[in-house]
Amino acid sequence: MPLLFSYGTLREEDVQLSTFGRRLKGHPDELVGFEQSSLRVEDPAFVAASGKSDHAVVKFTGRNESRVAGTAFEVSHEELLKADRYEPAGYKRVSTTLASGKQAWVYADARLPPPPVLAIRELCKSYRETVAVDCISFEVRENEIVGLLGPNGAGKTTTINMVLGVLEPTSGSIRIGAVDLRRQRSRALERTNFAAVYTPLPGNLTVVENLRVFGLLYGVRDLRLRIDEVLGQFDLVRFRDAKLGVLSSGEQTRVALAKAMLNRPHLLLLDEPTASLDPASARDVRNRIRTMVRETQAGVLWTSHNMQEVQEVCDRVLFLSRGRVLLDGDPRVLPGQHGKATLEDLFIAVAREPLSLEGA
Amino acid sequence: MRPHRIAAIVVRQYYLLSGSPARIVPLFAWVAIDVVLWGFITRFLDRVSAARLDFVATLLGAVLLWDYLTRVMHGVTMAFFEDVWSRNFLNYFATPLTIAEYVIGLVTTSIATSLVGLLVMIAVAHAAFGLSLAVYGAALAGFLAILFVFGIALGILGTAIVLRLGPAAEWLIWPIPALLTPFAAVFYPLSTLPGWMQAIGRALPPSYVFEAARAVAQGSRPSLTDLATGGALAVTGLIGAGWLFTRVYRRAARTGLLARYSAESVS
Repeated sequence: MPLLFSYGTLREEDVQLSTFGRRLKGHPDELVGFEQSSLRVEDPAFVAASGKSDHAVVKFTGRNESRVAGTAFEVSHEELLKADRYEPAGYKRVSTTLASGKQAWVYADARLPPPPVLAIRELCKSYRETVAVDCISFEVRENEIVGLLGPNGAGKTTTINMVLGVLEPTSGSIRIGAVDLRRQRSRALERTNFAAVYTPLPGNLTVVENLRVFGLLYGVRDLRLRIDEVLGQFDLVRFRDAKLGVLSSGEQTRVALAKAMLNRPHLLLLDEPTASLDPASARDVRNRIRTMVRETQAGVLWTSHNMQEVQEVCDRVLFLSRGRVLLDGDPRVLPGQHGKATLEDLFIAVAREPLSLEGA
Repeated sequence: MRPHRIAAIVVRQYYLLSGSPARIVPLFAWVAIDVVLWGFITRFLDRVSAARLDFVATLLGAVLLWDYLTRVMHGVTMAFFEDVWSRNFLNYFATPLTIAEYVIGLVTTSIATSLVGLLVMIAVAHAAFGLSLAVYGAALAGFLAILFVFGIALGILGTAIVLRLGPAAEWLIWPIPALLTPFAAVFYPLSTLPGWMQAIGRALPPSYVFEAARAVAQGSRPSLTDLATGGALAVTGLIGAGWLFTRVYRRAARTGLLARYSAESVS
């Protein structure tokens, strides 16, 4: 956020305004009105990034939620001419006040943001008497990396398998984007991908053969070009014609990650993606994944037992124990909130004394 | 149904075959040896038998057609086993691939691999023993179609059994054609069998093909009603096998077997 900027020249009578940015998909929510009280919100991060200090953040209120609709700021006429302008249907013109006190008209996106990349509601999985996942609910949003943490047997992999459609939930719902996984499995999985240490790609095909097969399965356009891109991104060009089975475990992990990026997934599931990598390669892979997330606005669900990695990479973490979400929050803040020095201490507490944290 | 996803299954099998003589040779070697063996047996029988029977057309033709059915079945199961051996199910079924697309991919692979076997058998049987399948006339198309459909049904049945019981169950799958041979009237008329075996034989589509093939070889016209019955039974078998595979797959997805499919997790 913000996903779009609104800007204009600031003459009271001859207002010339426009908007540009990424168009958002339609949303079922209905616009009620703009929240006038929030028109003078300062946004230091935006000022630092854009160098535009004379601005305002515009919010609007929908029937179900309110959100930031855009940031208004003053631009020169030249900047205005260069901009990719459009004023599509569904945008509303509202009066706003910039930081300087000047009045401006702004065309702001009147629609609500897209649904979360992944929305899990009351998801349960039982095997007869054994409850593996106990009615968990959480979301992963665009441009967000969420760590799914917990001791062995906590339900992490079970949850991921249900999201991948290879394990049927006992109850609850999984929506990937706006699509219900149970009802439209293929459509939901088209923009999803995954890499997991326990699921190697076939070792009897070469690297490029594996990528071609999975590129076809995901319906990747311009597949040849895309394969060359991911081979380059994961430093695999020299292995392109090597049988996967003869590569080292670290190289195989990089191939699995290249496959996971092949269809530019909107939702990426990574189950211990750096487990078999040396520290230098692991850092490299983390950087590549973060870059991909920034570029594609993807959401990532990431499991790892490396708490340093989690703290470095994840925007948010969910602690699972005995199939339930015990804690949810910022990995840099959560330990302090629960009287622990580090995320690892918190992890050990969750593993050993989950009851002491229940309801925290 | 997306053609590119079916193509992915076929392309993977193509990659496996094209780089591996160990996979290509069995497509035709064993059936060619079978034809050679039975070719000499029929030649010998032709020489010593007083019966006015063309053993080449009846016996060698039957062997060729039966081996074709076996190749069709193995075409499906072999392609499936490649995914079992490389523990590829999670990779595949975590993609948008549907069960129908996967099965159609296996069947398409089987069409190609069984065709290789059939062409080699025809060439060997013709070159070495003078057998021409033209002896069966237009009925040959019906024979091949029924055997193909039933071979696919057996292949899908085999994959469902292995998916349900685990990789070790593959040893139950290989002998299925041999198990059916006594009932399917491949080498002798159905009337040779005792009543209870005849009843089983009548439920098997190949028995209608081989009865008709013998009739043609002896100069009679094949019964179209019998061939239609064989065809209907083969299609019924195919639908039943597809239904079973879908049920087994859904159960595997419900119980977690699909996500953790390996020799250790099932057997």
